[in-house]
This record gives sequence, C-alpha cells and structure tokens, in this order.
Amino acid sequence: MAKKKTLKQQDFQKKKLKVGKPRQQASNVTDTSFSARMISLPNQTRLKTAGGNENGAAAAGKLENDVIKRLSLCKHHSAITRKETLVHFKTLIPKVIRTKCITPMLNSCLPMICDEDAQVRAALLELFEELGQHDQNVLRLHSRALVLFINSSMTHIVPAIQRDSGKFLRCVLRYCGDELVRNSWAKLLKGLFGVLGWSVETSKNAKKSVSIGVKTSSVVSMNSAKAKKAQQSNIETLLEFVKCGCIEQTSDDGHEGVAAHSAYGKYLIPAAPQPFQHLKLFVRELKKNQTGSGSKLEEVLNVTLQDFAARREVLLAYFYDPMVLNASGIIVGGGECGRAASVLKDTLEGIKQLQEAQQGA
Amino acid sequence: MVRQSRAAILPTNVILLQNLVKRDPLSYREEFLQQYSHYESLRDIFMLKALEAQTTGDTNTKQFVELVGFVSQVCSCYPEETANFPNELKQLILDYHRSLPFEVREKIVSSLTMLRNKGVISAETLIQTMFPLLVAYSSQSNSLGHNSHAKEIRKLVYSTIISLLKSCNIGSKNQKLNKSTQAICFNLLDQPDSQGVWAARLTRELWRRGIWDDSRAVEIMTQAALNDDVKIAYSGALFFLGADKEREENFEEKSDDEDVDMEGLKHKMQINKKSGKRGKKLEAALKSVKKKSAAPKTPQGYLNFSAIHLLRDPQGFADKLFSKQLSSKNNNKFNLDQKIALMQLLSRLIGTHKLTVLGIYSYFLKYLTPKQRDVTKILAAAAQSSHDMVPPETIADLVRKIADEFVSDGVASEVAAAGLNTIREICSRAPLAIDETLLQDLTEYKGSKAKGVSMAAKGLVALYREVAPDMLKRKDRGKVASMELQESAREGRVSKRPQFGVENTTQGIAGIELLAQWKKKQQDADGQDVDENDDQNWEVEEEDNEEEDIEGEWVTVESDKEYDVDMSDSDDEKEKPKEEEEKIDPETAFRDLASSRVLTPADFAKLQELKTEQGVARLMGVRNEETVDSDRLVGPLKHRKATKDERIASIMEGREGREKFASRKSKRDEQRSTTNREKERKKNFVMMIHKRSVKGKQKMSLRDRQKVLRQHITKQKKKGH
Repeated sequence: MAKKKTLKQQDFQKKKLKVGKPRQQASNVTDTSFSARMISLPNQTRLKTAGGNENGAAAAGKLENDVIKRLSLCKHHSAITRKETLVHFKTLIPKVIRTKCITPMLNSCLPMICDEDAQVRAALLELFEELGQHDQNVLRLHSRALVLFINSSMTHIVPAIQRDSGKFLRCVLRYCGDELVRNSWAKLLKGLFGVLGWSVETSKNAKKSVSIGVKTSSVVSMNSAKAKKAQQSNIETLLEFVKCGCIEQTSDDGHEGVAAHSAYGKYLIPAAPQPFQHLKLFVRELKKNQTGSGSKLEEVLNVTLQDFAARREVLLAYFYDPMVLNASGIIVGGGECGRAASVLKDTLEGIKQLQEAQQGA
Repeated sequence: MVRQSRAAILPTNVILLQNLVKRDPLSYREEFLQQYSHYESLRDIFMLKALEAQTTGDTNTKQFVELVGFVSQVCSCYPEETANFPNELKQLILDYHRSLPFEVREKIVSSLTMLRNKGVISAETLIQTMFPLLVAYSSQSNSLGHNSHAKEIRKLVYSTIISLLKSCNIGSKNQKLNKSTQAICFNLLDQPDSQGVWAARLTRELWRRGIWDDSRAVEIMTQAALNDDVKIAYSGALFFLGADKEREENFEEKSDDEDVDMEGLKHKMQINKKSGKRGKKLEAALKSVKKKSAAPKTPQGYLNFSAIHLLRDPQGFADKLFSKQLSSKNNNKFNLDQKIALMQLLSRLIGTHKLTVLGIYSYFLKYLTPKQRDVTKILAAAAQSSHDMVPPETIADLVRKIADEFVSDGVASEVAAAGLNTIREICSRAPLAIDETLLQDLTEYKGSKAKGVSMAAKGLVALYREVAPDMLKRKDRGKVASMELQESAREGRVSKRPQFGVENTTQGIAGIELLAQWKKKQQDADGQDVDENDDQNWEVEEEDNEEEDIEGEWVTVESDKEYDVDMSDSDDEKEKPKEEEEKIDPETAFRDLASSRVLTPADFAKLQELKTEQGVARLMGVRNEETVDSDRLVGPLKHRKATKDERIASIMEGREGREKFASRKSKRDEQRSTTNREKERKKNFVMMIHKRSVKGKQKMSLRDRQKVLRQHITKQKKKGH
C-alpha cells in the first residue's frame, strides 16, 4: 500500500549520494566558514615550555606554568572556583614569589578586591597576608595598583565590598605603609571617610546640599551588628593609617649616628623598589586644565607627600575637624566602636599638639 | 511594605541610582559623589593598565562603561562637581583610544554626544574631538591593533558628526560651527595622505541634506577635485556632476514619503459606523496633512543654487583641472571612467560659464573614434564644452574629426547617427564651427535608409534653417527661410549670418516683442482693452485650490443688471479683413509695454508660452547648465540588445495574471482533515473486496470501464481548482 509519506518520515529519509556531486547539505547546517586575515585569541597567553636542564629549574618552570594556566580562573563565573584558585595560589606563594609569574598573578588577583563574594575577598586577604610575610617588596612594587583597587572598592556601590575595603587597607598598611602614606595620603583618607559615611565638608557646603551629609545606605543599615563590627574595624584602620602617616617612630637616642646613617643611605642602592616613584616619571595622569575651580582638597588628592610634617598639615587642614566631630559622635554611642573612636580622638589631639610644637620650634 | 520602601530608596545599582538622582539631585548628592569617585578610581585603573591589552567583557570595563554613562547622564545636575568631567573624557578618548577597549570608546563617544545635546560642552569641542578620531581610524598605513574595531568607530564618529551638524543647523544656520568645520575640511585636504576623502564625503553628505549650501562648501570640493589623490579627485568631480540632483531627489523623497489618503478616510467616515476612535483617527490624519503642507519642504534659508553656479573662480578652476589632472603627464593614474568624469565636469563648467579652455578640444580628438569605450559620453562632453565664445577654428577641428570618423557610408548606422547628432549639438551651441561644404555634405544623409541617420541629418537641416539658412543648399532651406532670404536680397541687405564675437544679447525682457504682438492681436479681436487692473492677473497658479469649494455654487444673476454676453464674437472675426501683421521691433515693444503698464505674472506666463511656441528659447542663449544626454546622441534604436533585467521584466510582464504551468498536486495537499471519500479509499482492501460495489467493477464491460477511467482522469485534473 502506497501510503503518503508524512513529514516525519521525510526527515529520516536517507539522501542518495551521487557520483561527482558534492554531498547535499542538511537543511539545518550552520555555515562555519569565515574569512579573516588574522585570528586573535587574546585570552590565551602563550605558555612557555619549561626547557630547563636542571631538575629544580624544571620544577619551578612547571609551577610557573601552573600559575599562568590558572590565571584565567580568577575570572571564573563561579565564586567557589575563584576562591579555590586563590587558596591554591596561597599555597604556591613560597615557591614562586621570586619568579616572574608573580606580577601577572597579582594583576589578575587585584581586581578581586571588588569581588562580590565575601569568601573570595577573605581568601584574597589571606593571600595578601602570605605575600607580605614572605616578601614585602612585592607588595611595595604593586602599591600603586593596590591603592587604585582599594580606592575603587572604597567607593563601590555594594556596601559589603565597601566595608571590606578597610581590611585590605589594614593588611597592606602593615607591609608597605610607608609607600601608601607617601603617595596617596589624601586619597585614601578621603576614601576611608566615604566608607565610614563621614562627609569631608562639614559645614562649609551646608548651603549647597539638602542631604544630611551621610549616605542613605549607611543610615538605613547603621545599627546592624555587622555594620557595627565593620565600623569598628574601619575606625581602627583609620587610626593605624593616621598613626603610620603622622607619627614618626624614631627613637631619639643616638641622634648623631642616625644622621650619619641617613647620609650614607643616599649613596646606597635603595632597599625598597621604585624609590623615585613620587616623581611620577612613568605614571599617566590626565591633566586638569581648570585649576582653581574645585576646592583645594582636589588639588592635594594626587600629590605625593614625602614627609610627616606635610601629611600632618594636610590632615589638620582638611580632615581633622570632621574626624573629631564624627569620632565624638561615635564615642557617645559607646560600645566597641566608641572605644576605638576615643583612641582615634586622642591620637588626633596628640598629632595636633605635635604639629603645633614643631611649628613653634 | 518596609522592605519595598527600603528597596526603593536604597540604590544597589547604577541605573536605579540614576533614576533617583535625576528626580532629586540634592538629596542624593552623597551617593553621586561616591559614584563619581568610583568612576575616578576606575579611570585611574584604566590608565594604569593602558598599555596592557584590555579584554572585553571584563567586569571592570562593564562597570566603567556604566559609570561613564551614569555620570554623563546626571552631570548636568552637579555642574560644579563634574566641571572637569567632559574634559577628562575628551583626553581619555584622544590620548588613550588605542588602548581602551571598544566598548569604552563607543560609550565615550556617545556620552560626549549626549553632553553636547545637554549643552554641557559646545559643538565646537565635540567636532574637535571627533575629527582626530576620524583621521586616526581611517588611515590604513597606521598600524592599528587587530582588535581596534576601526570600521565601527569610523561609522560611529562619522554619523555623530553628521547628526551634530544637522541638529546645529536646524532653524537657523550655525555659521560659526559651519565655518570652523569647513576650515577643518580644508586642512584635511591639505594633508599628504588620503585623509581628504573624509572632507569630500562629509561635504557631499551635508550638501545632499541641504545643510551646507554656500560657496565655501563648493570651494572645499574644488580643492578635492584638484587633489593629487585619485580617489579624492574623483569624488570631487562626481560631486559637481551629481550632488545637486541627489539633493533634489532627497527633498522630493522627503516630501512624498507618507501620504495619508484623506479622500479615502473621509469616505470611510461616511460609510462606516461612526465611532470616537475613527473620528480621532481622522482628526490626527487631518492634522498631519496640514502640518505637512504648512512645513516647508526644504530647510529654512536653504539656497537652491547648484554647485557649479557657486564657484568662486570658474575659469581658474577649469584651467587648473585641465592642466593638473587631465592633461598632465601623470594622468595615467586615472582610469577611463574617472577621466570621463573629469571631462564631463570640465565641459559642464565650460558650457555653463562660457569659459575658454582651448586645450580641451584637441584633448578630445584623441578619444573620438567609434571604437573607443563609452564614446557617447565623450561625444556628449565635447558637445557640452562648445559654445559661441570659443574661436570657431578650434571647434571646427573637432567637428571635422567627428565627421571623418563617425559619418561615412562604411560605418554602422548608429555610429553615423551618433556622429550627426553630436555635430548638431555642437553646432547649436557654436553655429560657426562648421563650413558650408561639410554641412552640405552632411545634410545629404537625410536620404539615408537608416531611420536614425536620416533623422539626425534632418535635425541638422532644421537647425541651420533657423540659424543660417544661406549655408544650406537651396532645396534644403525651406519655405520661410528662403522667402526671407529672397526678400533681404531684394532689399540689398546683408544676410544676418551669425558672426564670431557678436553676442546675441537681449536687453530689457527677452521676447517682449512677441507679447506686444499678441496683445495687439487680442485687442483687435476683442475690440476693447484687456482689463489691466484685474487682480486676477497677479494670481496665476493659486486659483485651483479654491475652485473646489466654489464649484457647486450658483451664480447669482441680478435682474436689474445688464450682462454683456458676447454672441457675435465669432462672426466678427470672420468679417475682419486679414491685415498684414506688422513686425514689432523688440526695443520699441519694450519701450511701449514697459513704460505704459506693469507686467503681471500672468503676462510673464503668457510670454513664456509664446516663447516656447516659437522655439526661440533654445537659440537665445538662455540655456543654462543644460546637459547633453549621451544616450540620446545615438538616436532611436531599432534592435538594441536588452539587458538581463529588462528581459526578465518583459517575461514577467507576459506572465501577469496567469497561473503557473505546474502540477497542482502540491496545492492539493494542504493541511486539512481527511474527507469521507479519502477514508473510503484508504480503507483496507481486504475489507472492501467482497462488497458489491467492488465486485461489480470486475464485471463491467470494457467500454464502461474505459469511460469510468476517463472520467476519473478528468476529475483528477480539475481537482486543484
């Protein structure tokens, strides 16, 4: 019986092959041919083959390859994978810290300061700790990028990332505090103010804005336990930062010897990487053509402040009043935060006296 | 409830924040400042990484793009805080565009456009930012990275510039901006590498849209046409040849893009059920129609001068064009099409402005052979470039060459027709370019058997009957011309052959003697003066619109007035003796008419009509930018090989209203449920075999069986219908 072929049957019919004719294309075939002069695969960095003769060198090369292979995992969509990668890096650090792969590793790890997952951030913090313990100079070398990313996280729109930025700053401060306070004193102070929800302009610009000088987010979530804890840690970070930048830790004994040492020091090879960073020879910055239009604080933001006195001056000029005001507010609130704030306030007063004494002298 | 309200005021993403900030900028100042500083930090990160290749789709990139958009959206709310923002964007895109990812570049360009639209930055700033980008992304020699997306960026930047200039010139022209942009175009043309192509493209586009219509824009294109680069020179030439036509087409298209069928709508309103919605539809349509009719078709202050008329120094331009591009030693860089375009431009310039570029006529000689590709275009150019101010000897060479090469018995009839037609065109512009013997030789072709050739020869004869009948043979002169000649010979006058250097200038109003004559005739016919104070004479064309309303009305005829109905009009004329029409001298006519009365538009319309009637317009030198159509030079063709498109069109024409000759089988199998008949037919054979209806078929006679089969076949055939 000649039954009519249904559509379904037609689909499964075998196409007859004919001699001298190309095979018929299926109806759903996708054209994958392309014409390009060049194919670029930017995310596939060329992997170097380890061709070392020595066993140790080969092992090091193998490790390096391993690190480079895993770099792309830093951008993995799954937070767990990212965290695992960071944990793995941490275990490798003692072996690879002197190799070339540390810079690409840091470059791909740094953006994770702004990662949305709290566990990833915690792992990254541990990684930085490990780095700092093994070789401070690595962090010093990358201090500029660190500052930029920490600053970026300080201004992040997600409150959790913002709160955690203090932890990173604290960690980095421990190992390369000098670079931080020299190169980005005002910038980081301003960032910390932002994290704490304090306004830099206390009463000067009151006429301009109706807002109460604090962000709505900080007002709404002010009283949660998490926020309290974060506030406390951030205040402590601020305290450490201020101490690091303003109070010289020189013991006054043997003044002559120290002077002599410093005199030698000029002619020795400097211990820290990038000793002339403050000259900004290789740094790109946009020029501002409208100088004087903004407030003076904006001018100070990108200036490096090499000595303690200058930093104290900037602190007193722009940050002292709002800091004292806000700290006293928190002291009234009491608790752990209040305790930290009171320490901060005392330190600030000490700094003020020190500066006045120096200016008097 | 609480959660909802909290979500509404807590900005967790930038878009939400943008909405909040726009509603209430003052309250959300702190949030804005936070985001602004975030933008700043990201910007610094980008600059730090500027040397490294940024991969697209990076979270940082996405955030940065988002923030740039955000800040440029709301920066008009905080002018003080963001004073430096536009400048930063400008620096970023200008200095670091190579290292920025494509998304960021795109976003910055669109943000700058937005800032311009909001009035934060001036149009000049935007132009100054865009042009360097256009240049940077257009050069091939410049080694751009493989991921630069140069084409997209170019497109974006180009469209930005065009739309900017368009929006700035709406209403009144922004002369300052136009001038500065034109200055940039001039500079681009001066540059050694082929950047000038952008200047040419931009100018052409803006000319097409009627945004630039001044002599400066034309000057840019003259510079382009004289450029060393082949592409630029060619685009300059094409501009002069085609831009005005393009512009007209552009405006025509704009005017008739969507026509609402008002009549149809009105009719529908009468027939259909009346509803509010329909009424509103009609109103809207009415409004749009009114708006369209009220709006001018062309932008305000638009000058309808063609580019060739706006040239500042036509003679200099033509000289340079000829000596630098066409006849110089390195003219080998142009291919034939480009050379022809240059020839066409030159000849049009020469014809329009009556310039003297003597070299071009001998230049044409080289190309005037029947085997030359596109020779009709060159013939047309040659015809166009001749006019009465060129020494006749120069053009005579040209005519001689055409006559020698094209017009002989040994060539195809189309070739001879093309040659004769070209000679006619040349001679209509420069009548002295041909000598008597050659002319008389050529007119012999009027007896040719080929239709095109004889038509062309007759055209030549007709031309010389008007211009210089005494150059023709006696039998060719025609009645009127020979009578005139005889008369002048009788009176001893010198025949009025055209002479070189004597211009046929008109003073006063051209052809006014015709009008005077006509008036006089009318007066005689009517027996009374035509009412001069009639207002209707001043309105020529506008009456048509109002007529519709009046049409159905009755004319009130008052009984107590006397109506002068002209019954005897026709009789009068017959009785009147045909008086000798006296010739009226143009000067006296002008004096009489112009001094006695004011000419109304109706008069001018009549004048125009009379002039065309007499066919004098062609001979009076009023021809302006009239082009010679190269296709018409060949004459009417009997058997021309049709192109494929034409053939297909004619095939399709034949098929109109006819169904396809094909099996109808495919049409039968449309989706439907099976009929009873089909079910019957599909029924299992074994179940049917013992039925009488089946068994009976076996017993049918052969004849009956055949009959049934026939019926079945015809039925099957008809089934598809």
